[in-house]
Amino acid sequence: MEYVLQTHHLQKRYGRFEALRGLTMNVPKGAIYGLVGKNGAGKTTLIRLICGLQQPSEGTFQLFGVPNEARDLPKIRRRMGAVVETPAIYPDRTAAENLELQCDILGQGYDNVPQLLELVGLSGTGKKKAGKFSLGMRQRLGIALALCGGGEFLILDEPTNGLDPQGIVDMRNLILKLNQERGITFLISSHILDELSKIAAHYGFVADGKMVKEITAEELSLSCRKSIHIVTDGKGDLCAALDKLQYEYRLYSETQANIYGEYTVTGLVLALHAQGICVESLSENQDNLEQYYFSVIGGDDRG
Amino acid sequence: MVDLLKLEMKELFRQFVFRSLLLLCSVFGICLGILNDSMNDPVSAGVMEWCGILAVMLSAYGGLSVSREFNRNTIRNKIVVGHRRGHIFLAKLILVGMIYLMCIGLFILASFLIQWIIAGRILLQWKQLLTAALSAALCVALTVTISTAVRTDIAGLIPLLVLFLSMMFSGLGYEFIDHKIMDVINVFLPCGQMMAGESAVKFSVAVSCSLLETVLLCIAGCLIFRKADLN
Repeated sequence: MEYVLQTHHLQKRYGRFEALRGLTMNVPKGAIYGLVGKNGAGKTTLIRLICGLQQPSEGTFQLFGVPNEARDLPKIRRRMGAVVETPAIYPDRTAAENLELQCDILGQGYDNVPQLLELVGLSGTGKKKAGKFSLGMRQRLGIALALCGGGEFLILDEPTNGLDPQGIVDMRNLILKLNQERGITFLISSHILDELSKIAAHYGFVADGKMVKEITAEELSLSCRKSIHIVTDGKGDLCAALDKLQYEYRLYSETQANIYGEYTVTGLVLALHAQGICVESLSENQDNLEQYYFSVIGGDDRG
Repeated sequence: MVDLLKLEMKELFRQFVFRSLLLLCSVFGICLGILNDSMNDPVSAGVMEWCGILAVMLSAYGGLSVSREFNRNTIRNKIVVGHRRGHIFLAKLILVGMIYLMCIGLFILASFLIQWIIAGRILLQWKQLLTAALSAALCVALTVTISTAVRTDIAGLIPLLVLFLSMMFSGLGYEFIDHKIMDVINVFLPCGQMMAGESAVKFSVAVSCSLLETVLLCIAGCLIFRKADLN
């Protein structure tokens, strides 16, 4: 398999604080790779290292097969673009002027500016200055800037942050379009798991500066556990009963729980009845990305 | 590198403030030329003193031109697509150098031109011109180094403060420090080079030290910027 980005035990220290502690990841070519983690997990730090904004304390990475310490890495960077945190735009310029400035930085002509504006849906902005754009428009302008060099690899750091529902849908559709029509590889860092699950084909779960798990969407769907969700009548101690039966479960309230494992419905209901628990209703569930995330990273599941 | 330079120059001439600065420097040069002529002073004397003051004032504009890119985070657009940090630093150095060259150059040219028109002669001391050039070069190096090292909202104004204090000390220092010691200090102080022509330090030595200081400052600034963690 061809990889656009590979990191090997990347470390980043700020004084005594270790933001990245040996992070290893692999982003396949043509994939939409979702980087998932809590606030402060190290996602943005990782992105800054890859974009060249900061240097790793230890470890290496390869971009399109070229090591980060290679002299020709700057040339390779022309094949990528990034929107790190907020888009870096010139607020006193129009969208077209921003793109022209980026073309100047790249040393290329302005031929593809109208096409890029059309692609991200900003062709109708005319003389409106970018400083007056909505957040969604700025995000799209940021993506257009990242695409100026004909990028094959785009890094988006929290691209849907602060967007309204329509903006989120537009962003998602744009990413899917670019991936499917142009074969652009995406690395998207996000903690809006529901949104990520609609587009990502690969996931990397980051916690405390380390990659906890890398998994494809297919493997995720196989790994997401099935469970039986039960609702009881409230008489009897559900938690104590489940502990006594040594079931693996997740309690939602005094009367509701998810029970994991391979059980028959009859067997489960009878076992609980023997413990004084009367089951009023039950249904089959399968873990989604959010629940899988909590099972991998840990933390409260408020479902 | 060439792409960066083209962009910097294009952006510089696009700015209304810069075009206004050029006009102001020209007008100021004309006024000074007329004033000096009316006082029967050699033009070069007043012009060179004012060059030092202009060099300090231009550091504010130069510093803000550099720091604005960090404030807006647009520096990312250059680094992400592969421009080397050393090239970016050099481009900024040339940008601020051009600001100084054009503004102070216009100021001097306007002064001498008006002197030539009025009096039919120009009294030019090449030592003072060279000193002014060295002083400006050091100001440029200091401005860019500080602006790229500090990278905050006020980073653009710190060079102005440093240069202003340096300029004040270079003159007032003679009041409470031995003149010979002060002459040596002024070889290294930005804007203190204006004193080099009349000092106890040999002119060639002063020029060499000043040049060396400028080069070392540029190298230090480049190294600091290359290692810096940017957001």
